[in-house]
Amino acid sequence: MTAIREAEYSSKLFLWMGALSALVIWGLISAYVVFTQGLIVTGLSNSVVWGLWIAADFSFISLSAGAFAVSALIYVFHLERFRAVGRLAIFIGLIGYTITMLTLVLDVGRPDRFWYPLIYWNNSSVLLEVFWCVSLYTAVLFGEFAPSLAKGGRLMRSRAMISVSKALEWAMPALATAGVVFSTLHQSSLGALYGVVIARPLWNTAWMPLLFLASAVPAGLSMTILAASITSRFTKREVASRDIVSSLSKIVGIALLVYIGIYVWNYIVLNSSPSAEPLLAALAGTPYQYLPLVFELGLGAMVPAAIFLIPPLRRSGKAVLVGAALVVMGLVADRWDVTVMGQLANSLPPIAYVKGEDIPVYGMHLASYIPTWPEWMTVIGAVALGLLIYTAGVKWFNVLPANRTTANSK
Amino acid sequence: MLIDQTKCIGCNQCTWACKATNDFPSNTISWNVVYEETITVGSDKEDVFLPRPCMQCEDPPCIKVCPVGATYKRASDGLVLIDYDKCIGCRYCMAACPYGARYFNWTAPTGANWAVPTYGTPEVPRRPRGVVEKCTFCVQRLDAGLAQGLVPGVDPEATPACVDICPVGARRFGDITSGNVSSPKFGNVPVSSFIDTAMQLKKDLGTKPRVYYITPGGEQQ
Repeated sequence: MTAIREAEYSSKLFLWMGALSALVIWGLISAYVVFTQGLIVTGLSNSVVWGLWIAADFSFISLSAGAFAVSALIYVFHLERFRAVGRLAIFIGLIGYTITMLTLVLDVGRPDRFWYPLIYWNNSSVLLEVFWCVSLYTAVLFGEFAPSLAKGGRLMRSRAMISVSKALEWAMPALATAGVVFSTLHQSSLGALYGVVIARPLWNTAWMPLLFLASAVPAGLSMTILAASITSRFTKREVASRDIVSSLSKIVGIALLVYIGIYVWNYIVLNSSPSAEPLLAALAGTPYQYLPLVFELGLGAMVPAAIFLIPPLRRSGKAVLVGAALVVMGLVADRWDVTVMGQLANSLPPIAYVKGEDIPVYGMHLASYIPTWPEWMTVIGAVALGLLIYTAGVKWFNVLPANRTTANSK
Repeated sequence: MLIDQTKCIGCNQCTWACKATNDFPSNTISWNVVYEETITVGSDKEDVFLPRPCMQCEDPPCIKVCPVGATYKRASDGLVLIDYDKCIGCRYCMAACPYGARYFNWTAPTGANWAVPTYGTPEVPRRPRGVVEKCTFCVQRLDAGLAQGLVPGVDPEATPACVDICPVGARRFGDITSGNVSSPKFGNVPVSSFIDTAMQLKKDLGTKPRVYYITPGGEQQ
């Protein structure tokens, strides 16, 4: 790189980091508003109790699934060639889980009691399991990632850190396996969180846990592809070779087919369920009648599946980039739709049974939910923080393997 | 608890008595609600009212989902209660309640409660911002009354405020195993007279609500 290009690069980087920092600060100010004034500043209500924050958190967690999916490919299936993106996937995972934890602290009514699930256990609660898996898995991710920090980061290069990292590296297969277990467990239990709620017919299907797992795998891998492609473009360094991206894409394509199958099946189950029927009917007049099919199934799964499974398309960098972005978009849309749709339509208690008929007269009630500025800005701030950590990691902590430059590989 | 929809006139006094007794100044909280719906019975249109306290389910979905066990079923009488010192405010129980009987303290409960003193006086401390609350069947009255040897449903001091205030006798209260539910003003109703025909809300979910309704439709289910 010439001196001029170097300068241009760092001024762009400076702008990028500056903009992200501004968003993070705006997010922090919004978080302060939430903490001081309470959840009244959100658009949430007694009808819609979970909103943008939960949709965002569950998206972050699902998009972090690349960490366990790639780890599984490397350490469980012994596909060594994916080692090249292993560190990247784990880094994204660590960031995803970190910003999830931060957003969750906002969401609970009593942030001062956020740690209570550590000591008070209700063993029948799916949420307790999610809490523990997320906490333990964040620790595992940190353990998996620490060696890279110690090796790459100039700041971390101390003798103690190096011996710790050597021990961690030795334990890596065990850590990775533990990671796969925790991650699989809670990716599906995020779905179970909704699935077990008998009060909400749109959530209450046996397929929910599987759906969450089946959507997280392709979305997490797509996030890895997306990060690798974009990072390569901006750092002029090949983060992952074309071969690896292409074989990852193929795996995503196949995973999407599985997801589409389960999605369609669940859709049929819901639409033929007598308890879900009045709720779907109530939603029929709203955009939610089409949004899931268009964004989750069509654009979020079918189109990218086609891109990833048709070899000429899969070999085009641009097509893969678009495909991966669509999968990520589809996943975010899905987490939003599941969270919000399930609560928008409420069947109030049956008002009365009419003589001679078995069917109670239900009071149908369509709630509304519009996220407020503090909700949006804290989520945008959390994403900006994630991008900031990512950029800093790539730039200064050398988290990506020192690959050949694109210039050399041409 | 037995609620007779054929008697309820939708006056909402139960709601206000509850608001005063259990002291929630916020308008977004109401442990008891009276729903109103027009239904068709034969060729007639009829206004029906459905008062809805907590169902005090025998198999409550809210308890299963609470991560920290802040909401629990009391061993002595099966009342579903909340430990406000344990609740972290995750609101999972609200999503899980089929009856919408749970309410979140979106704000700190400050300011005057307009229902006081017209409809009663506060008997329990206000709950802090950020926790979930709901109808307790006026647990403070039941406990204090039973300790004095009073009978819930018979002695007004030992009976939930909504039952005491109802001007038409649409509510009765009591231990279902005693054979009778009653109201201090309106007297006993034998359990055998309604137990087979009464409606339980969303019975198909298997939550086994302990609030029974006599509905305007006649024989049910």
